[in-house]
Amino acid sequence: MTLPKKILSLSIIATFILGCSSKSPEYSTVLTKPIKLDEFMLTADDDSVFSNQSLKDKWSLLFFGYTHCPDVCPLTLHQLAQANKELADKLDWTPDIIMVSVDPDRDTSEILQKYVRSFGENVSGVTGKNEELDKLTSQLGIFYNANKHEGENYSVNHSAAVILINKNAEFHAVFSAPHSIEHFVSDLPLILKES
Amino acid sequence: MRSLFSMSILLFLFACDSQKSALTFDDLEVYAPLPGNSVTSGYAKIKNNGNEGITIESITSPDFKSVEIHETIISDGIARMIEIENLFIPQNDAVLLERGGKHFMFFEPTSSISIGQDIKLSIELSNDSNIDIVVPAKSRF
Repeated sequence: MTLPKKILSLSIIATFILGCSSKSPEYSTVLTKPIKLDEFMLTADDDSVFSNQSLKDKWSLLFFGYTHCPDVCPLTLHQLAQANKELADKLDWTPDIIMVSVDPDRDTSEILQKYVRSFGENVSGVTGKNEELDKLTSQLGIFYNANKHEGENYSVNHSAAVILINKNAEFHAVFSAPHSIEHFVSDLPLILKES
Repeated sequence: MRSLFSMSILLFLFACDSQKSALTFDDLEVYAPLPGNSVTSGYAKIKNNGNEGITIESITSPDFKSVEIHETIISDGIARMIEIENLFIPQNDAVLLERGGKHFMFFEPTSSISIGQDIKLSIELSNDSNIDIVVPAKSRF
């Protein structure tokens, strides 16, 4: 092989390696500057206080849903739990999965705990008064609205996004629906590595 | 006259039977409710092998207080559920009930439902016929 050909081959290999190593998250939007969250006060599924402090020193994935949602909520929680299982081999630690119930009238701590634990040990639930939920949801661009006119088995419209909170309890990134296990498995290591 | 009447009944029964068999529920899954939960969902590929469209008008089950067909719609990032009161399955076509889309919705088990337990469904169709199905409750995991 002549010298120019060798240089060309090496350049191609180097470009390929650099291209691979600088892969960016594909399925999520990472905020240029993470947003510090204003104070909120919710209740965890073990009845303890859940506030900004509860999100510190760990990464958390927040999903906003409700236990009477039989389709998209269990699907998303299952995807998150499965993604964590797959990431356990690749990462030193995996993010906590937190379902924030936007149906506090039906989702008591007891109901919420039984529900979320069935998805895995590191899945927890929180809820609280609507005014406290609103303090959190409004900062994250999360929408919810209970259709109480539907009667006893009312549905709740809610954002389907999954929010990533960083170790400083800041809004760091968002995964928009529709979700898949692969989306989380692919993007989370890249986001955590960059931070 | 009597033989004509008997033949009419036979034709009626045959018509009902052919309509019944025209609709099949492939890969039907009904999930046992999660702990502490009083709702669950089910999925299937509903195929209409007949030459006439068929509408599912209602579903009942002795194992649940009520059964409905719903659709999850995610629009502008917001997940909404709407009830489909009558699900139409076109002739020689299929409708897929899948996660994140159309699905059976089961409310309030009449008693605790365990995985593997038989769930009985009675599906009322637009041709005044019924399909009875028994399916074991499945684990979501």
